[in-house]
Amino acid sequence: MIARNSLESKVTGGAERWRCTTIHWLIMGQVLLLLPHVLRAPNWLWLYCALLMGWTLSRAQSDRYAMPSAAKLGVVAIGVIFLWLSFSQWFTVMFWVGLLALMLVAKLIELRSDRDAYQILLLGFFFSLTHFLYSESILQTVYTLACLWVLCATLMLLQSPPGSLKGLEPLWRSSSTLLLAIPLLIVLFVFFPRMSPFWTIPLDKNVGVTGLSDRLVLGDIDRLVRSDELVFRATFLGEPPPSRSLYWRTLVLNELAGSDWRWNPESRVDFVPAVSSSTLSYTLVTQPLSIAFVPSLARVQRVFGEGVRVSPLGVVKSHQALSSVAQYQMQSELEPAFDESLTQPSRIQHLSLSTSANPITRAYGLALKQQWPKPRDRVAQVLNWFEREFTYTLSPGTVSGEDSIDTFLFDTKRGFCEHFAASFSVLMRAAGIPARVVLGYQGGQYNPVGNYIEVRQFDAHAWSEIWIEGVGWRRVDPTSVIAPERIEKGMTGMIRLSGQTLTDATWRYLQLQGFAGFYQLQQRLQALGHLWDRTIVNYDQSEQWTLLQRHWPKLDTKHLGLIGLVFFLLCFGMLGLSVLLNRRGGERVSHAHRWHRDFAQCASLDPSNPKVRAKGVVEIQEVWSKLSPEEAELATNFVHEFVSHQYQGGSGVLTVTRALWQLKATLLWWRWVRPGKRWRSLSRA
Amino acid sequence: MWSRRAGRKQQNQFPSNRFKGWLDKRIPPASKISLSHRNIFILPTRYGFGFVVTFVLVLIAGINYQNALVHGLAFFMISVFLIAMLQTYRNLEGLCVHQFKTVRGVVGDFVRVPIELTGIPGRDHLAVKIFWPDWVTDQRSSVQSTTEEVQPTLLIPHRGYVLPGRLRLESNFPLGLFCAWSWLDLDITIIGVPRPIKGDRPQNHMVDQQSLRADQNWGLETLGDIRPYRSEDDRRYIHWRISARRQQLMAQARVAPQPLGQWLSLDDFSGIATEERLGRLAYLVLTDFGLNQSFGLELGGDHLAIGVGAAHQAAALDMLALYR
Repeated sequence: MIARNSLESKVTGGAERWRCTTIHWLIMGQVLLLLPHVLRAPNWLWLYCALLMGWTLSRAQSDRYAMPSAAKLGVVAIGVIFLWLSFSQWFTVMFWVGLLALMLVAKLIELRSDRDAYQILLLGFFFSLTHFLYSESILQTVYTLACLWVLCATLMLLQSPPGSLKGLEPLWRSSSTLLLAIPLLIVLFVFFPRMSPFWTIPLDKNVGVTGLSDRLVLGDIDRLVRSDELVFRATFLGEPPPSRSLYWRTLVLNELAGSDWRWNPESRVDFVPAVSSSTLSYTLVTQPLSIAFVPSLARVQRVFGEGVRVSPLGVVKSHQALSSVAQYQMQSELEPAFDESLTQPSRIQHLSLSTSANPITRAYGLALKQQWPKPRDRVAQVLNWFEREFTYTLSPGTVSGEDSIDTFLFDTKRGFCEHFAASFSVLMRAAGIPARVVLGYQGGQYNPVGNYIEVRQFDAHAWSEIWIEGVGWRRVDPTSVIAPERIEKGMTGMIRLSGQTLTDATWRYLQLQGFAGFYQLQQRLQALGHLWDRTIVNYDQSEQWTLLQRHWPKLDTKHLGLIGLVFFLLCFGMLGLSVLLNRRGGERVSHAHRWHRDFAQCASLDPSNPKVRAKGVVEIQEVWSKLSPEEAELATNFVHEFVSHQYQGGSGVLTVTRALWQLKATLLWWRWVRPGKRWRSLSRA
Repeated sequence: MWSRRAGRKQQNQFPSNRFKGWLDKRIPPASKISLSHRNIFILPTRYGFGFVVTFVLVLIAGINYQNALVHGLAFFMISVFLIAMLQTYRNLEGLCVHQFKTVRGVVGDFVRVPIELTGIPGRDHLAVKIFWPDWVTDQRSSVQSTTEEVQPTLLIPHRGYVLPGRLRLESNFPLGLFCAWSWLDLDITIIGVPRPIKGDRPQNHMVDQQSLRADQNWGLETLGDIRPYRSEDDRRYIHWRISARRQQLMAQARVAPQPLGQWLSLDDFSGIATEERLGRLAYLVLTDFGLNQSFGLELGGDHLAIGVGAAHQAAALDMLALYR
């Protein structure tokens, strides 16, 4: 009865339970949290983390667990110094992610009590947000949710007495908390007022590396490297145009230096919005890109979205690189009427050629100009020549040097869209026709599941635009005459037709499409991803506003918080009731007992009265029919079913319950219409 | 040393009398208390506050990066926080606490106080801690539908009636973000028995051992009055003849003979302090005489008749404990 010893063992037992299970769960959570960053951070960091985790695991069993404080300091200092050396920059996000990861894992070496474990877990919750800085896909969200689940399970494990939760039990036990949190999460997500940022740290994502650049140097690319990375998805209002007319203009290269085409932001081309005769409305959801341009169809008239405008060159310019998923609404004029004029300065700019580079091309251009006075004839002549003598290939070999255009046009004659567009535009300038190169994407794949067109990096394309007096800027795609199937069938079709060897890893994507089942599944998943991007990832202030306005058109901005609060309280109240009233098997009353009770209530008898309780259902009906025969008659069906269930084994539980509900509903209605009934009986009299 | 520390802590537990008065009104002393919204308090723990701070940081990050999913993460955290609040409250709600025994313990020792906990059928009450705030905790893993006895420990600080203050029931389950607790006054009788001190046995009042055992035999009692039979009476005492005459079961009471045994008294020990004398007596009562030898106790005018057995021993200890 009097036991001091056992108490002392209990006190130390508190520290004892630290070992093993808790440490395993903590490390499991950390590994899950760090995994998405594995390829982003330097390798030594992961080695460092693995060493610390290994040390902790090896010590988990032993009694002397702590590390001397000098050693701890040393371990952390080494980590921070290495981090500093490998990033050498303070203000990159990856540096901070690395630092957080370091803190998260280094805390393991001073893990002694509940407090340390809680610190790790809270830091873990914070750390999980770094996942979303790099990816916002469904897969990432599901993964991060799984991480949070493990963190919650570890919290629960810390609270339960040692040994009471075994194996994966913490996961199952904590699932109820997570599931109940979801309705609240949805309400908060929809209604919580969105604010504009307090300050910003620029994101240094290395995304969109394979995308377009604002320069085109012919000799640079030896072999075309393309990827299947998604660029954007476009949803059209109505039927999407055919693939061959989908030229997504992204960048206009209007300055020629030697053989290099560049984008010159200084140039001013008079951009006059056309009077719309047949506009095309569409929505673009773009993935992160390294450039500050949004693809659009010619000629874009209007764009709605954050921080974008239509630039004078008729492309959509954003004020910064597209670092996250964004949505834009656009209107384009597919066949603009002639309304453009070319001012003298811009005519000179679009005709300028380097006086030293590409002498043969310049001479040929001059000859063309003299031979064919009409610009249209010159263009036709050149395209004809291209069609006859040039070959489309994805591995054209190197053409380099100052006169690379000369080399390409009059020597190799093998290339892909960039070669053709660049050289064609140079030749046009030499022939006295203002010309420029446009970089962008051509075509795209239609996804019937999500009804959108999906454009990937391998749809990147280059073409020319020339100015013709009386017509305006016109698109000329030399690739379309050399390899029409590239335009007609898109890049995917082109590859299939040409039967090229698929060496690039990315082409596997296309190969896999050969299997019909896989292709369909892929389309469905992509459609789901698109829906996710549009509704969840892109949900911001304006989207929130649009959603609420759809349901409450007269809503005022000021009331948003109020509505949110009302919904939140409603949801929380309901959850509270469901949590607190949930008593599994609490009231174990048989069906018969409940039916009897409810029936007595219907007959306006007190079911708790022992006299009433002693009576059977049939007897109650008899008493009832004495009180009000019309009402009691309504109960005939229920009494029949009840007797059949109880004594003859006929009706099932559901039948009797339904009969009881019918009786209740009829009674409700009956009592409601009573005044009317009296009137009927009067009229009959 | 133990008792001094305990006393100081006990004073700190309830800082103001006003609060104590309010608490007495809100949760009045009772031997059986059911936990409900009237007597459950709930507040975030420091980890709960840490969790909220983390939530705010995540929300700020979400706003700054204009990232919908980071917003979502923040909302997920606050939702989990609120649900944890409900579940922590639910973990204590409906628990019924019941105390029924008088507890005795030696001064300076820990004593386990048996307390009955009954949960709501079909609901788990996990990781409920039950303890006196100043003493060592006894943690229970769970209380399920069946009645369960827990034994929080208590240190007996002094001789006589011990008022342990309010009992605390506490639970941080499931996530440790909230602490739900209740302060209960269970009307427990706890008696501090003087710590036994070993010493020489006084010789003066020794009684013959032979005659001492005689009283344990049945049938030596003298006959007493005839009265109606009560259920607790021995059936052998039923007086059948008179019962038949009166149409009612009658029994003849027996009067036990004056048993023989040793008288213990404060005066047996001279030249030492009262507390020490009580200690010596307690030692005699607990160990020397134990449960098998008869003894009587005489303390400054109060008398405990000579007797034997557990109940007699308990009565003797109570007398020693409550002596003034």
